[in-house]
Amino acid sequence: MAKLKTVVDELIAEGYLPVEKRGELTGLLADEAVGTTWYIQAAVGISAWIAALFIIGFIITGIILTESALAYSITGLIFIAAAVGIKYLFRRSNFAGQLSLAISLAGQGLFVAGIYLGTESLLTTCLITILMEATLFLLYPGRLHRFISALILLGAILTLLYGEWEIYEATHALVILLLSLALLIWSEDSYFVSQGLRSLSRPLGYAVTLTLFGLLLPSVIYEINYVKYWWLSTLGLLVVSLLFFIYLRFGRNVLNLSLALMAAMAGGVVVLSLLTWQTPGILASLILLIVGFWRGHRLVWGLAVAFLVFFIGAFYYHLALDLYEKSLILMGSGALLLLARTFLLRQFRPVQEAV
Amino acid sequence: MINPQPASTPPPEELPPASSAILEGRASLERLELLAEKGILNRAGFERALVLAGYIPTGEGWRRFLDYSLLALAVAFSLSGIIFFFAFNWAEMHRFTKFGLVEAGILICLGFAYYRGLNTLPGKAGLIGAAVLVGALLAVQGQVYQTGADAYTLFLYWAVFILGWAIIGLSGPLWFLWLVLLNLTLWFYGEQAGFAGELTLFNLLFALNGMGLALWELGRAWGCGWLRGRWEPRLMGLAAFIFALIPTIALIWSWHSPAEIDRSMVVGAVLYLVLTGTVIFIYTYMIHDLFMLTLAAFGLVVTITSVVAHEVSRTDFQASGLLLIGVVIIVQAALAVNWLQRVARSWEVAHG
Repeated sequence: MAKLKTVVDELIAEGYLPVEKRGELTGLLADEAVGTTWYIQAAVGISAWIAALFIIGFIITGIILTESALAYSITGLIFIAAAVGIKYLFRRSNFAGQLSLAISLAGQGLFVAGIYLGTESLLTTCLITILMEATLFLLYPGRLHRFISALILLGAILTLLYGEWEIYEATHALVILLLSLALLIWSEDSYFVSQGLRSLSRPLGYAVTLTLFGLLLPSVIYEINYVKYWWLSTLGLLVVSLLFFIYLRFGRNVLNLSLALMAAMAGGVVVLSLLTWQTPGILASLILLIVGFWRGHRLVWGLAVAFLVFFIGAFYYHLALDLYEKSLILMGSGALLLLARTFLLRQFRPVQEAV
Repeated sequence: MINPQPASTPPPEELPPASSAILEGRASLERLELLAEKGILNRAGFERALVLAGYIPTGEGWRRFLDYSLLALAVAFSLSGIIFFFAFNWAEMHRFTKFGLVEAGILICLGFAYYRGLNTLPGKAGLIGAAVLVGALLAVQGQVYQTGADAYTLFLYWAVFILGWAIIGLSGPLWFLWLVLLNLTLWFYGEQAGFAGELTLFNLLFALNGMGLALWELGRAWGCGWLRGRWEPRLMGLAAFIFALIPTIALIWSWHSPAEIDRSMVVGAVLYLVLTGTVIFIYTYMIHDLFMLTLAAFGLVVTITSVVAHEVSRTDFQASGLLLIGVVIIVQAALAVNWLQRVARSWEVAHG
C-alpha cells in the first residue's frame, strides 16, 4: 500500500489538494484515535456480550414473573433508552459499545414481544418494528447497530409480505429494488463519504446486500418452493445490471472500455442469464463482485465471492444429471472460461486509466 | 459531476517538508475517508486518493482482476470436474489405481517443490501439499484394506512419515501441521486407548503445545528466519491457555467438595498459573506481542469470573448473582483493556 506522503504529494501536484491544507491534514490525523487491535476488540466484545447476557438475565427473570405485555414493552423501551444513552456517553469505548448493543437488542426483543402479546396482530407488530428500527437507525450512532436495525427493518417488511399478505412473487420486485439500492449505495460511496453520511450509507449498503443474497437463497433450496418464477428475478437483475454499466460507461464515463469489449461482456452476461435463468443468485453475486472490486470494498467483494461459490455449487448440485455427466460439464465450463479469459485479455485495452 | 479543484499549487519540490511522521504511515482507507469526511479532500480528490492508494483499480488493475478471477474459476471448475470424474468411477477402480492417483499427486507436489526450490514460497507450498496428501493416502489405505485400526494411528503414522520433510523444509506452517497431527494423535489416543483421565489428557495437550511454543520462540531467538511467522506461535499459545484453563475451572468448581478434587486438576491449575506469569513476563519485556498478553489477561478474566460464579451458585441470591457476575466481568474487561493499552503505549515510547 502507498505511503500517505506519496498520495498527499501527488494530490497536491495534481491540484486536488491545496498545499496550505497539508498542515491541517497532519493535525487532523494526529488527533485520530489510536486503533485497538482486532483481537483486543474481539475479547472485549465477547466479554461485553457475556456481561450483558448476565445483566439482561437478571432483569428478564423479574419481568417473566409478571407475564404482562405492558411490562415487556416498557422494560424494552427502558433497555433501548439505556443503550442509546450508554452509546452517547461512551462513544469511543469499544466495551460500552458492545454492552449497549447487547442491551439494545434485548430491549428491542422485549418491546416487540410485548407489542405482539398485547395486540396479537402481526401487521401492527411489523409496522411498529419498522418504525422503531428506522428511528434507531438514525438515532443510535453505531455502525453494527445500524446494520442490524436495517436488517430487522427489511426482515419486518418481508414478514409482512410473506407472513401477513402471502404475496410470494413480490420477491422479484424486492430483488430488483434491493439490487438497485445496493448499486446506488456502493457506486456513489465517495459522495456519501464526502457528505459525512458514510455512517448511514455503509450499514444500509451491507444490510441491503445481505438481504438480497438471503432473498435469493430459496432459488437453490428446493425444499423452500413458495416462489415459482425465479426467471423474473433473473430478467430484472439482467436489465438493472446492463443499465447500470451503460450509465457507468456513458453517463459517468468511469469505465474506459472499448465498445467491442462492452458488447462481448454484455453478451456473456446475457448467455449466463439464459443458462442460469432459475438461479438468479449467480448473476447478483457476479454484479456485486464487480462493483465491490471497483469500489475497493473488500467486504462486499468477499461476500459476493462467498455467495457466488455457493450459488454455483448449488446450481451444479441440482442439475438433473449423474456425476459423470456433471464432471464433463464442469470440465467443459473450465475450458470455456479459459477461452473467455484469452479473448478478454486480448480485447482489454484500457484507453486511459479508469478514475 | 466530479470537478477537480483548480491546479493553483506550487510544484512538490517547493512544498514545506512533512510536518509529521504521520505522513510516513500508510495511506489507509480509514485515513483517506476521514480526510474526505472532514472536507479536506473533496469528492474528486477522495476518488483520486483512492486510486493513488490502490483501493480503486486502474486499467491494469482491472486487467489483472479479469486475468486472475477467470483463471481461478477455470481451474476450480476443471479440478471439480476431474474430482467428480474420479468420484463417479471410484467404486469400480482397482485399489492400485486409487493408490496410484494419490501417489501421483504426492509426486507432482514434490516435483513442483523440487523444481521451484525449498527456499521459495511456491516450493514450500508444494511440500505442504505433499504432506497433506500423505494423510489422504493413509485414509485410502484404511478404506481399501479395512484395517480397523484406531484413528490415532493414522495421525501418528502421518506425523512420522512427514517428519523428514518438516526437517528439510524449514517451513513454519509445515511444522505447525506436524504439531497439529501430534495433538490429534494424543487426543485420539487418550480418547480411544483411555490411558488417562480426561483432565490428564488436557494437561498433556497443554505440555505439548507449551513446548511447541517455547521451542518456536527459542528457534526464532536463535536466528531461524523461517520461524518469524506470528500466527503459529499465537495459535499454540491459544491452545496452551485453553488446555490449561479447563482443569483450572474444574478445580474451581470442585473447590468446596474435596472428594472431587484429583491431582490432574491441581497440576493443571499450577501449570495455568505458571503459564500466565511466564507469558506476561516474556511477552511484556522480551518479545513484544500484545496477542499473547491479551490471552493472559482474558484467561484471568475467565478464571476470576468462574470463582465468582461458583461462589454465587452456592448462595440463595442467584438472580442478584447474575447482576454481580455481569458487573464483575465489566470491571475486569475494563481493567484488562486499560492494562493492554498502557503496555502498548509503553512499547511505542520505548521504540521512539
